Formats: sequence, C-alpha cells, structure tokens
Amino acid sequence: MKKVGDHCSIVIAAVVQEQINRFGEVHGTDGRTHTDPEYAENSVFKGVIVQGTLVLAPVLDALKRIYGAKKWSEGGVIETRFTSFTRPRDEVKVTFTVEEVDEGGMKIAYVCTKADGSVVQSGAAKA
Amino acid sequence: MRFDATDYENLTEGQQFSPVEFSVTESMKESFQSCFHVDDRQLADAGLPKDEDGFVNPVLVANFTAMKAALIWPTGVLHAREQMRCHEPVACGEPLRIEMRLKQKFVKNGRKFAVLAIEVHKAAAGTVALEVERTLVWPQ
Repeated sequence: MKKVGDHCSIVIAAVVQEQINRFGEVHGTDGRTHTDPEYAENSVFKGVIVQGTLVLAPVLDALKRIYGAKKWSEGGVIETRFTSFTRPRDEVKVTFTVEEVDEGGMKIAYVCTKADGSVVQSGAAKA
Repeated sequence: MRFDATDYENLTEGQQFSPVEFSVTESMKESFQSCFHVDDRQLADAGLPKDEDGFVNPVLVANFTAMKAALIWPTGVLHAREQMRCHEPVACGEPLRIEMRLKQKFVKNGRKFAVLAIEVHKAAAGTVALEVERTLVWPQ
C-alpha cells in the first residue's frame, strides 16, 4: 500500500443484535431503529439498521495499520458517506485503494460492499 | 417518534451546546472492540501489524454522548456523512471535553439536514485531539 493502484481488503463479519445493542450502549447510538427489532420492523426502515459507525470503526482500525499508528493518529483525515443500510447478518467487505501519493501524503479511497453488491459506505482518507 | 424530541425548527445555526466531560474506560474500550470481528488476513499478509498501542478508536472518542446531552433526539435520525481529523491519540482514562455547535442546517430534496461541528479536547492539556463534522438527517 504505497503506490497508486495498490489495494487490499478486510471483511467485517456480520453482527448480531447483541453486538448492535452493546455498541449502542457504549457509543450512545442506542436508538430504537438499532436496538428494538419489533419497533424497527414496523417502522419505515423495515428492520434493524446496524449503526454506520459500527462499520466505520474497523475501517479506522485498518487505516491506522495501513498508515502507521503515529502518522494516522496525528494527522489522519477521513471523510465518509453513509449511503445504504447494513442489516444484522450482513457481511461487509471493505476495499482500500491508493488513489494519490504526493508530498502531502497518501490518499486512500475505500468502499464498503455487502454480498449483494450494494455499497453501504464509502469515502477517502489521507495521512 | 419521541414527542418530547427537539424540533428541527428550533435548531439555530451557530448554536453552541454545553460542553460534556468524559473519559473512555478500559471496559468501554473492550466492550466497543467486541462489537465487531474482522478478517484482516490481507493486512497481516502485507506486513501491517495489528494495532498494539492501546489508544482508543476515534469512533469511540467521538461517541454520541455530547449529542445526546445537548438535545433530545427524535427516533429515526440518520447519519449521512462523517468527517474526522485526528490530531492526537487518546488513551483510556484521559479526561476529555467535547464541545459541539450546530454548524449548518439545510433542506435538500425535501430532507432536513443538520451539520454538527464537534471538537474533542484533552481536558488537562487543552489541546484538540479530534475534530468531527457530522451530518445528520432529521426524520420527517
């Protein structure tokens, strides 16, 4: 992961309701659309939505490894768009691709895709 | 829908919310990390070692505590966009202070958006550890 076009992937395992609830409790994202399956099923969302930040968290862990802890923690920037819902039992593949390398650092685009090909979030990081 | 929730119309651009002080405990961090499991063989194969420095994931540092303290959130608020800028790593137990203001609100394609500017300060040093710009979609 040093030159333009280099890429790698991680796979975030599907989460279960208990993990979603625990994440909500510790992170503060404990709204009923995440934590109350019966409510969520009868809402406009037609089922529980996994917090977008629950998917973002392992993305940041991976970026820290790619850039190196010091470089990432003392200057890393990420911009993320949440574009679709992740549901419980959805496995998410995250692909990182180097887009630019210059004196300002390395820009890495990333995309989070479910098995059906839909993109749940994407963005770019630089450090 | 919560009937006591903050009305979108009552949000004002530039509005500054009361700061919130907190710290991330070891048990919070452990609980957070246990919420996801990752197949990271490609990173390992590429010679990128696992994080062993013990610092807190920025997602947990920029948790929703301050937002929940500032406003009564209606059910169904969606997260549309997040921008994070890391300045300093945060360790468990470090006293932190979150400052938050409403940077912008706008309506696009009939949807109501609120953009929050959040700064996480290290309370002891007064330095900024993390800046976040969080875009939310208000339920109709």
